[in-house]
Amino acid sequence: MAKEICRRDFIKGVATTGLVLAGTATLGGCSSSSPSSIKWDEETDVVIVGSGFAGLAAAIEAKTAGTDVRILEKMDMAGGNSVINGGGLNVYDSPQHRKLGIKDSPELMLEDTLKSGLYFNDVEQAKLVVDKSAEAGDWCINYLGVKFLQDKLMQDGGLSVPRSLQTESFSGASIVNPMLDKLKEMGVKVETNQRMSKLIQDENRRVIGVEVIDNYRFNSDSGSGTKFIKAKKAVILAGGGFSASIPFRSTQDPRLNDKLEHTNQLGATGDSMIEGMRIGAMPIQLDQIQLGPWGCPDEKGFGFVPVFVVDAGIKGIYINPTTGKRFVSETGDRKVRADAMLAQGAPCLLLLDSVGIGKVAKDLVDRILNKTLFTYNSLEELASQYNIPIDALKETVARYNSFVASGVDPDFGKQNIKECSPIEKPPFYAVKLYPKVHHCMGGIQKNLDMQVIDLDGNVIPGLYAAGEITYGMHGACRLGGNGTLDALVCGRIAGQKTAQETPVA
Amino acid sequence: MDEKGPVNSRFRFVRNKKFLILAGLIALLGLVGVLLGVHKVSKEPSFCASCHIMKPYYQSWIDSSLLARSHAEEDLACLDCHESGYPDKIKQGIKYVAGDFKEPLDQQLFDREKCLECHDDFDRVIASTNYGNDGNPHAPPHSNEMECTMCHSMHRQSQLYCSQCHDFEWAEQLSQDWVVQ
Repeated sequence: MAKEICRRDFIKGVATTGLVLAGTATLGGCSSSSPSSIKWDEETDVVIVGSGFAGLAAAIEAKTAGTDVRILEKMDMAGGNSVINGGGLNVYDSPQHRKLGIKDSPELMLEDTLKSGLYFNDVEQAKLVVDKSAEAGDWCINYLGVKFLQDKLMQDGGLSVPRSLQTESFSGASIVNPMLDKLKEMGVKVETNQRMSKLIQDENRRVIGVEVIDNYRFNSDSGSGTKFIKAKKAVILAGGGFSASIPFRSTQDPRLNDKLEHTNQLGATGDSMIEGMRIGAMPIQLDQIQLGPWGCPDEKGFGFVPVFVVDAGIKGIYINPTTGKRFVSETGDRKVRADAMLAQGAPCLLLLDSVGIGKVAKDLVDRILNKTLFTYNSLEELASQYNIPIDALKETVARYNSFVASGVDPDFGKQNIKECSPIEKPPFYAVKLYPKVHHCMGGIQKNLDMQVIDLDGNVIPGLYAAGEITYGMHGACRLGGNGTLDALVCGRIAGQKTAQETPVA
Repeated sequence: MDEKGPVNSRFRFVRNKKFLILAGLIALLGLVGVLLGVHKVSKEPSFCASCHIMKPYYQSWIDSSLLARSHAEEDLACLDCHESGYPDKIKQGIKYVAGDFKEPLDQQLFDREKCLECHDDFDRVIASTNYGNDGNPHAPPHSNEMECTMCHSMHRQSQLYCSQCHDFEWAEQLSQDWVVQ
């Protein structure tokens, strides 16, 4: 019945003979009516909303278990934020760990995660994901064929040891594309321009399908009409966070207004999370929104600088151009550094010398050199470019170099000071940094089977969630490399569990 | 009976079977001719433009700097991309008469396979836009199979999708028919 009221068939042959074509009538005001009266246009076992790491991992697992899946993506392309992320994956053990002789453990990894998250984390979720991290890395390497750097593990701030497998391309696309290839082999294709507009529940509150806006184009028009897809086993929400929605994020954290840039793809507006909450999903810590302290105001979006900073940041020093002084530990986690940068009120500089830059992956340097990363023949030249008080700058650098010599940083406690080299050999390199809105640690609540929990603490039958859309392991500050891990591990579990659901009639 | 006499005599030839067959054939040929004419005319872009909502699309084909025009110069017309059978055409006609349409119409998205029917040497396309360290819009690192329509539009300005997040030197050379953010 809802179909008859709401749907207008969209004529695909736009502009044919001049006999016209037609679009849709208005869609507003339509409701999904009672579930028993819905005429389903299509049906499958599991509908997955979103095509990032979590959605694709879920699809692979569900399909492998013999369950039919449909993956709906509202944007023009598959992959969501996952194809533009930095491609780091935290694991406590890997061939790279063994090759490099790095001593790590699930216990240390969990401790880092909880400590950085200021213990706002869901401890059980964090433990689950950390325990399955090595398995997730192995799955990427041996099942998907993901190419990670062989001789290097990354160590973004907040990690006690180098722990992040790093894709050779320095992009999460190198994990997403093999996943898409696997799905293609299985006969599953991400359906783009399909926006889930409503979750449909039966009389017993079980989620039994979705209403979808067909031919949806983000920020352009409202699509060509709605259709209803029955999900006999479950719906998995994997639609990501809401960093790109200024109204929603600034409602949760008033500091995150339109003055701050973000790193996300434009579709990261939290639509499917909000629909989940509309039918009763428990929202948790929505104001815990991460700022990326490696954002560069000289480039758009996520850009190339963040990946450079993950490698280079702990090898250099951060300088406030106004004072010429350091103001934070360069090995501080993202929250520590971003909060300190915001407190300075203006972009800071990451400064390295030619020895320090020589220890950074060359690809990363080449990509940004003379675009956002600039060279200076002397500290005087640098100071003159940014109006830094030169005496203060020289004093800061000399003081820092003395800490490198002594192996202790009494000012800010830079963790890796013993491995650092002094900043003294020109040319000097500097890049501007200022926080950008990056990741939503909060979201809807799920249990260890990835079933969505409602306001009364009960499972919403037939509804699962994974990835950034959920609250889980991160707490107040997500460690770099933990987001990809969380999405892959939880997505896979969601896929496995939904495959075990008993189908509705 | 007498009254009918003159009538009968005037139209006596109607009863002639040969005449009936001949007339039927002529009518049939006429109908076929008309249908063929309609079939031919209906393939002309100018015919498409006889409905007011199609005029901007027709205009972009007949005279513009947009991609529709460069396809026109390769002798491609509306139906080469917008394939549809008579049932669809009739359905569209009814919707037009009934006023059951959006204005302006939604942009229609074609799968990349449609474009590749003609642009089949995609390796050459990739090679033609290799800007080294400054990227390659046809071989983006983020996706193996981006849809052509994410950037390219036929009847409106195209948009450089990558420019949402990236600045490229080559993008500065694009014509005014491109939207670069």
